[in-house]
Amino acid sequence: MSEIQFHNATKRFAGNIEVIRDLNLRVRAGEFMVLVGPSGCAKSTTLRMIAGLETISSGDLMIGGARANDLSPAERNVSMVFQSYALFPNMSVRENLSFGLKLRRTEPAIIGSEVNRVASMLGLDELLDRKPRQLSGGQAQRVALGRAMIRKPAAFLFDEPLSNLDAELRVQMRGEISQMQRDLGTTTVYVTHDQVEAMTMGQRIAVMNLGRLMQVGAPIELYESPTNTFVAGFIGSPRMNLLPAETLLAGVEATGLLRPRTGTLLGIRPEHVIIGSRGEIGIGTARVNRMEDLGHEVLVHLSTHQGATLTARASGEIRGAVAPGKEAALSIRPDRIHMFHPDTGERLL
Amino acid sequence: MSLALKSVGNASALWFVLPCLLALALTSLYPVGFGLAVSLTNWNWGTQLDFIGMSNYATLLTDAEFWTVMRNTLVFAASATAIEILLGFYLAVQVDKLAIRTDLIRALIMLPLMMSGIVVALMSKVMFDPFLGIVNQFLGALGLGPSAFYGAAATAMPSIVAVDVWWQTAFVFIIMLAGLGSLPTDPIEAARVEGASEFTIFWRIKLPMLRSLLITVVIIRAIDTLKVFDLVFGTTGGGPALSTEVVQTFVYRTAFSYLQIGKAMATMILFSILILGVSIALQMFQRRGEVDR
Amino acid sequence: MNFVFALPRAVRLGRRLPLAWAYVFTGAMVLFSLFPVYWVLATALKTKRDGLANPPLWLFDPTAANFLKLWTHDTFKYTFLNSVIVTFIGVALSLAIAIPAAYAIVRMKVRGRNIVGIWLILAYMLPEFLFVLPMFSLYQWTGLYDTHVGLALMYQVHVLPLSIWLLSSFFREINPAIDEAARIEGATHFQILTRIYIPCTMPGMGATAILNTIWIWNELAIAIGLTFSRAQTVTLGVTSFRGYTALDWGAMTAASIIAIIPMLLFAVVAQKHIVKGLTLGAVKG
Repeated sequence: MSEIQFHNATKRFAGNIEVIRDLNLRVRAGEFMVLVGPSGCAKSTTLRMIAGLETISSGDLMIGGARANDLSPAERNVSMVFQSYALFPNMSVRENLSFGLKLRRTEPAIIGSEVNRVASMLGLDELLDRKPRQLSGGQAQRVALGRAMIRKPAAFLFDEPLSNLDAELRVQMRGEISQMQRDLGTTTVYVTHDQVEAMTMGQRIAVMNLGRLMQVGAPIELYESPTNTFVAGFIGSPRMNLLPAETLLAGVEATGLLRPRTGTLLGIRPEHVIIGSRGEIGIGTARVNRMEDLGHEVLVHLSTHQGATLTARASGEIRGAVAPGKEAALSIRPDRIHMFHPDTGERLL
Repeated sequence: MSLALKSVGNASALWFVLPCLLALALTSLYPVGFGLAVSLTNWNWGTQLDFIGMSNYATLLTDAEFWTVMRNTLVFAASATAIEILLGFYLAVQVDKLAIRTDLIRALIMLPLMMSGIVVALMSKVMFDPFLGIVNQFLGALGLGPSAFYGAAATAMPSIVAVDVWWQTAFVFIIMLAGLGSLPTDPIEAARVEGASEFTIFWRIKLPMLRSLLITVVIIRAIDTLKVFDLVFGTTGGGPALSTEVVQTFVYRTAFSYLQIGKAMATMILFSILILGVSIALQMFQRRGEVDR
Repeated sequence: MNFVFALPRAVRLGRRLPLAWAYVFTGAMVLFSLFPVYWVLATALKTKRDGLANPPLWLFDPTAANFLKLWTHDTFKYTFLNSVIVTFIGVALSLAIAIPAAYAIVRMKVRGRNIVGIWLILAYMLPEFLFVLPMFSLYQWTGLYDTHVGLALMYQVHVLPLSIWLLSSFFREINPAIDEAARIEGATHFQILTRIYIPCTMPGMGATAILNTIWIWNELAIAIGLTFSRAQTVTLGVTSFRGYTALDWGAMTAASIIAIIPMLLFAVVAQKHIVKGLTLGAVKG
């Protein structure tokens, strides 16, 4: 169990293309940290720098308090689960699990008992003599997990490990990985582009975009107070509505609770746009363009009279009350409104 | 910083490629360097060893025999390559149409390719014997006069070309059949749905997609036929009267029968430049087509 | 289906005729490829008198005499044995050198990778005597002339480039994440190569070894330049029957058959590997 820390880490690829700039990130010992962001945000590169598969151009990486920049992957004593699982195709499940221990010249008797312990933890007992190509996706995933945990590493690194699984299995493995991490208490860095995975698995989440760290915090912090429009848009589905204040609140008089200045960017999540007048402040009517009925809820796409479009998320009861082409009254709770600087996108208080 | 790590990484990569570099240095770099030096001398493998500058090259370029040999080599390479490409590709297109498993057909057609050139050459002498050979029997049955084959200057070169075609057409066939088999089916089916005829599909869709591979095969066959040795050595030995002498048999004779090693090396170096030129020209032709598309 | 049957007769014929022609042409080419082999085999099985009959005999009493005579022909017997030895050394050497080189080129940072690539193409492409004539004198001085090892070493100029192209394309098929996983597990490059890459590409290793075997077994120009008697290969053994042409077809054809039989067996047993190797080699080269 070790702390992992980046100090002003920068990564440049050939041709001096800077993909990561001045990264400062601290993963606490025993923590489950999720790195999330759209493709190309350098989250995988960050993970690979921790693993030692990519060099660090400048700045420091500390693992367990010691500088790790120049250590080989093996010396860092971390283990990694790959998107493609990267099981060794020519080796049986047993050999895959024991490969790292053998290279470290562990006693054969200990290897045997460790393999059995990990196999029974992950339900692999029956599969030990199979080759990787004889495994289903979920089984291969478990073997990859087993290979990662058998060495009792300082940290687990996951690189989008669930993206090759079907939806049902993904939900199940999400639970199993979280459970395993809680039981072992090993520091974990988990890369994903899926914000649902990030929200459900991470103790803390680091959101990255274009090689920069956007925000680090517990899932609920990111949801409730995103520090900029990028995080606001990235976390939550459907996306938060982001629109200039005057297009939404033109008809609203400033009150003690809500004093938007013209020009600020307002953010409001679809679940906080209330159709009808149950909210605290009415904001006038908007025209219903389209409704997406998901059964348990209805997504209503609206346009305001000032020309802004926004999405509201309502329960199924709304069905009879609104229809495309009709007007609907909207209301909000002022404490659910986020305000951002129109140019920088930074959160305003 | 990570400089130490990097140099270690490179050092171990060096150990992996070092045996290869040493083997190549010994078997290709050294001989080319030594050969270049020898080509500037009148060495006879023995004690006669004087530096004579470019005079081997000058003599060669004004030597009628050298130009005959060059012409023979080019004629052989051009005709053998052209026939093998056309025949092998046409055969691949036909076999590709067949609705049966073609593994056995491929294995049978491939047999000549497994044989050494010298065996093929000797086999052809049995087949092409002017008096007792089976080929003249067939020609007679078709009402065509008996041919002297290797025995006459007019027929010797065409006979060797025919033998090379028998020997190496399967190479073109195998590569092009694999190429046809690996074409994506979507564009072809789309064209079929659009109502294109099989003829149009071949010329407008399949051939452009195979162009690069076909040129690669042309390059391989052209280089291989330019380097011809076994076939000529095993059949005519260059005769009758220089009519089939090619560069590599000429050099063999110059070096080992006439002991003119300087002249032989000069010939080899001029010839290597020719081969390089041919392959670079063909490769540029291949690249240009790719940019166009 | 009904629509097809409703097409005019001429259209249907227009579709079937090309297919019929494809079968006929393919059949003719198979015959063209096989007949000379059959005819030479038949000649080898004829008595001397039957072999020189005019017109040639289609029906005859087969005899093994020509093959039995070869067995007592010491020179030929030794050239066959020499070829086995030289091929074995040559192929072993080519794999031992090419496997680590191909791995390094595919999966490690090798400075000057492009130069090595061009060098390989040149070595493969340039004519044999360009290399053989200078090596003749070097081999005389060093005592490598007319030895199995010397000949097998010189063959590397051709089989090394081919082996490296083939092996590197087989290695490239392995997911690079497997290397990374192994490095994190603590494996060195050498361990990754021997414990993962080589076991994973055994069919590719086989294809490479087979193609090298065929090439070395059949090679003449280098063998003629660098051997004299002790290390003469079977191609030279066959060449020694060149002068027999008009006299003794039986011995010559029997020697030819013996010389090609090992490779023909390969063609039957390992057809898929050979085709894969040839195809990959062409695409790379």
